[in-house]
Amino acid sequence: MKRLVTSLFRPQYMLVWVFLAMVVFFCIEAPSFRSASNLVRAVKSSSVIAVMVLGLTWIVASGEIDVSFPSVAGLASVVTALAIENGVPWTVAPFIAIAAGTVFGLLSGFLIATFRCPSLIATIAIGSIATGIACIIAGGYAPVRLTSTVGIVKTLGSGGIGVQLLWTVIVLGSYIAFKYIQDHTTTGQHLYALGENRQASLEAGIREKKIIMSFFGLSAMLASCGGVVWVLFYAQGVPRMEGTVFIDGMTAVFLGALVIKAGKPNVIGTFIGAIFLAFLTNGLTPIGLEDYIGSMIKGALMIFGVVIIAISRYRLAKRAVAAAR
Amino acid sequence: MEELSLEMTGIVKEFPGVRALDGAEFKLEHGEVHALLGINGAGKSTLIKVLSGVYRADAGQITLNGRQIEISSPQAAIDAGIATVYQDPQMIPSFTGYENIFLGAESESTGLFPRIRRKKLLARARGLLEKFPVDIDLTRPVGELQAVEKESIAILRALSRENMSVLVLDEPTSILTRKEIGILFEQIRMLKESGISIIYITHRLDEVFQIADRLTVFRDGRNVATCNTSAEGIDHARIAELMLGRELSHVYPPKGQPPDDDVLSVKDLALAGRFSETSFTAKRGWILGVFGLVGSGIDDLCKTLFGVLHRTAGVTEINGRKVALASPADAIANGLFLVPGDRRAEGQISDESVAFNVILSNMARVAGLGFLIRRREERLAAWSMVEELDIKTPDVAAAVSLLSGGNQQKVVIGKGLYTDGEVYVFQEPTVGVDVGAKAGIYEMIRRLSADKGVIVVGSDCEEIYGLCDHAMVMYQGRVVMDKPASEVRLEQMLLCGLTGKARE
Amino acid sequence: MVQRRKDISSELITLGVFCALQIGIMRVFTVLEPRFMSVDNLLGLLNLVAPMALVGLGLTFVAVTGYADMSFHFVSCFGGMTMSHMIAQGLSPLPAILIGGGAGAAFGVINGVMIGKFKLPDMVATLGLGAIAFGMAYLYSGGTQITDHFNDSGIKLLYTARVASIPLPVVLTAIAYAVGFIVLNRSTLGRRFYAIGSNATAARFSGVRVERYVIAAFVICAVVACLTNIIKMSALAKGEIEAGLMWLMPAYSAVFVGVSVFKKPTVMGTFLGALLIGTVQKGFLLLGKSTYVMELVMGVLLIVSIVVSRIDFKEIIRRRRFRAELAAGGGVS
Repeated sequence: MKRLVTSLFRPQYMLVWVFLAMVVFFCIEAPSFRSASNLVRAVKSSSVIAVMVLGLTWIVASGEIDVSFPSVAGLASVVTALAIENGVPWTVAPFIAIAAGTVFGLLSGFLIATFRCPSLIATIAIGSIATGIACIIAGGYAPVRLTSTVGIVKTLGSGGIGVQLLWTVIVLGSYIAFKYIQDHTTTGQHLYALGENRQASLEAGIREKKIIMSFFGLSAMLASCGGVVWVLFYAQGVPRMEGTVFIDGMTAVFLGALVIKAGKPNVIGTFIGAIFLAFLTNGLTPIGLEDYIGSMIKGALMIFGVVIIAISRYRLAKRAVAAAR
Repeated sequence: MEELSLEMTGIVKEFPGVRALDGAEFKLEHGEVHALLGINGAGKSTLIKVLSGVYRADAGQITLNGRQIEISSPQAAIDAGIATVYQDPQMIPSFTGYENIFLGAESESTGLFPRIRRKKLLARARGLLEKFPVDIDLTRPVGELQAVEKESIAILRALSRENMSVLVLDEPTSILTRKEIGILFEQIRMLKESGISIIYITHRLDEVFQIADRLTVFRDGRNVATCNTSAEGIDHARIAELMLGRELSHVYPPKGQPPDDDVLSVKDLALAGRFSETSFTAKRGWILGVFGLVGSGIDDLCKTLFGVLHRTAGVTEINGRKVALASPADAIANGLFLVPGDRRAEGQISDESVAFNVILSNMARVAGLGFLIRRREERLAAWSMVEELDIKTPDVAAAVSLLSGGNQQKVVIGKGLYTDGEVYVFQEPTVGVDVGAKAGIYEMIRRLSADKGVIVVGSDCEEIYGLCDHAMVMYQGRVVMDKPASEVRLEQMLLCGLTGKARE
Repeated sequence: MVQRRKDISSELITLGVFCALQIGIMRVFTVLEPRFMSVDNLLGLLNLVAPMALVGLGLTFVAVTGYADMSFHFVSCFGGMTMSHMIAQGLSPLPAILIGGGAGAAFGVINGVMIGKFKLPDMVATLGLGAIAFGMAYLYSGGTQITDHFNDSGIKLLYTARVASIPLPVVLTAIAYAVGFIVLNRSTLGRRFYAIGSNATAARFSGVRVERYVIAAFVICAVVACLTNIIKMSALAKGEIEAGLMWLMPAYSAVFVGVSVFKKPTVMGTFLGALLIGTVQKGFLLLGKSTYVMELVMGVLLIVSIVVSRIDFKEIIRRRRFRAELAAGGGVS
């Protein structure tokens, strides 16, 4: 029993406890937080972010970075919105958008794998191209609003619980699938190996280029999915999806790295991180705090996270030295 | 003639400014242990890297079991059946032993997401332990294992390849204890009997006669001799001669004058957990030699003295004045300079020019207004250092990475000399330096000792013995010998460093 | 030892390619639109290049020390809003600008300490601090624009004033570049920044106080970003929170186009990068394309420069010759 208690309070699960404490606090402090519509809103926005950064999780775990996901998501949302506006059936439009987004991810992957370009630079370049194209086809920075209320958009937009549930199930399903791949297949094994010791991984014959290419493709694909769902939820395509989406996505991944695998980004962690952020954002307004306080809290959490990771690494290294004596 | 296990012919590998391999040949028979010898920079490690796919040869042929192969990547080498165990095997620290053993080969399935069956892998790893019985917990993360255990994991990893026919062991015993070396040799014999050919790289000549059937000596990027270890006339001295290409005794300068006044005096310097209270002095006209094997604490000693690591106790005096050295910057400001042991990581800024490196520690000497670099002065300063140390470089604007190892080391030494310090500590001063340059560096150290305090620290027993006037030996973090060099023999010193016991 | 000369020449080839590219681009635009070479347009070009070059100059320092800063654009929002708030409080422009820059410096110090002293991963730590800075930018007005006293305090002069008919921002950028060039290329400080970026351990062993210089680099980056954003706000004649967010991409693009020319971050390279990007953008603007083409141009040029610089022309020629020899049946041994 004692062991169970201590294992529940290990640093890996700290974020979960913080999350639960936060939810309880909001529920007591602000009755409007408990309202069904607020919870639905929180689930909705967390599911969009969660999908957008699912691929990013693996990229960061393998030691790279992708800052282009908001731009790619923005492009995908604009493509979807315009396609639907121009009479493309809603069953087809998302696939066009996702394909377009994936091309950009493969391009970054190609630049990184073939030209050994730092991933930060490659994705900054690809991101600005994606944003540029999104602005050009949208004809400016203003969001493209959906005027035709086509079937599913209407249902989703008005918050039909059934469709919401379906979407939630899809998100959960993909997370479970990713969790399986991450922990029980060679792909998962190799991505963590790459992130921890690139030299050793290459010597072991892990195909770095293939993994990098496919991860960046995958990340862009998932970011595009996020963009598509954004259109379906909020009935608009946003050419510039930077700012909060970027901070939220990165925070979800880096906060998530604290959970389960103590210091390494992992999909379950990202999932918890995304929900955490959504509830935080949706809880601040009811208790009378401004949105920007959220930004500061997120930043502080991120720094807090890396400090904890740094301390645990330091302790581990010290223990290794002690063991060598 | 019997078919060879491995044959390498006409291997050429060039690096900017250096021809590391120049038409090298190497023949390996089935089921033999073949020692590969040569001083640092002779080309033996480059040959191994070509064989294991880390480097691509510029020219040459490799034939394995009668079939010509091309080794374009580490994976290609592994696929062909060539496994390499490096001195410091690279691993994934948070992965367990068995996960590291099968890294990159977890599953034979070629599906999109091949499943890892960890239980099966663990069982297979335990199966390997039957072939290579070492006492090791395969379910612990390797980051928590000791160096020796990591090496065992690396050998297990090599054994896990079904088709392995050639095993390369790159200085496997350098971090092992004597008992472990015995176990390792048992394993090598067993592997040999099972038909695996082994290339064994080492610096320890004793081991060559213990374990190897044949040996090949490399010098200047070529193989200069291959023979049976049991052949007549082959002994330590003959091998050393082959490796060096000249007689040993000419390398070291004559011993110094009787000691003058103290320049540096260190009392009870200690770093908890690494080395215990150590006292020593450096005098003008006199070289203090500190010998210790890897792990004896000499590296920590140097870094603590220089302020890189923070001492837990001890007092340092330079010219009778007590100084607090909390960082290398403090040390240099007080006249203490360390020529570090790992040149590439700690000594030089490789991408930058000779001039950049030479003046880096004392830029005030060429600065106008306190911070503007006068480039003419800088060039002159760098050229004077190039001439003083006989650094072979086309220009002081050439990047240090383009120079040979010996000249790089001279640049680092030049950086030290340019600070015009009082005390110089040379850590492993000739690692990766060719024989010709070695003699030059030794002479320079001797010249320097005339009016500066000089300490030479290293794991090369012969070098320390050949250079110093006073010998100190460290073993597991404590000083086990502290005597004038004239009162010890080389063999005594080596034995003391190996066992920690000073015997007459 | 012919190697070194070869290296210099391959660097010169890349530099030549970029200069040719710059001139070629200007020619093309002149042909398409003769007004491109007019004094007015060229002044406009300088006005466009100046802020990009300025914010890139700050980032160059961080890039030289080998780190990445993901916070300077967020910090510039805070610095800009601080300045706007001071102006609105009735402070005169110069102290307001100094306080705005000082706010940036504070964040730079925190970045530098986190990364230089406590060795936190640079990308995450700066991003976290950036998020905090961005949140703090809202503290003054809760998100609304600040316009009080912008018209009567004289802050607008920062953008509109001219020195010998050259706009003040361009003059300030030129001065900043002169100082930056002297510091990085000609001073002992610059040597230490480069030493740290190339090999921090060896720099430490050479007596460089690494932490101080890392902190200095982040401070310079943050302060310069704040100043750039302050100039932009004086041009907009209002304090606008999100104005600073746009600086991330131009800064990185300018620096890394420069890196592909000189193989390492340099003051000259960053300037060339900003100039190249600015020229193309100005050309498109002149041809009547809307402003949102700018980002596309930036991304494409960045990729082109990466590809051009990473392709080692000599290596390709050498390989082709090697293959030809093989095909001709000549034994390569």
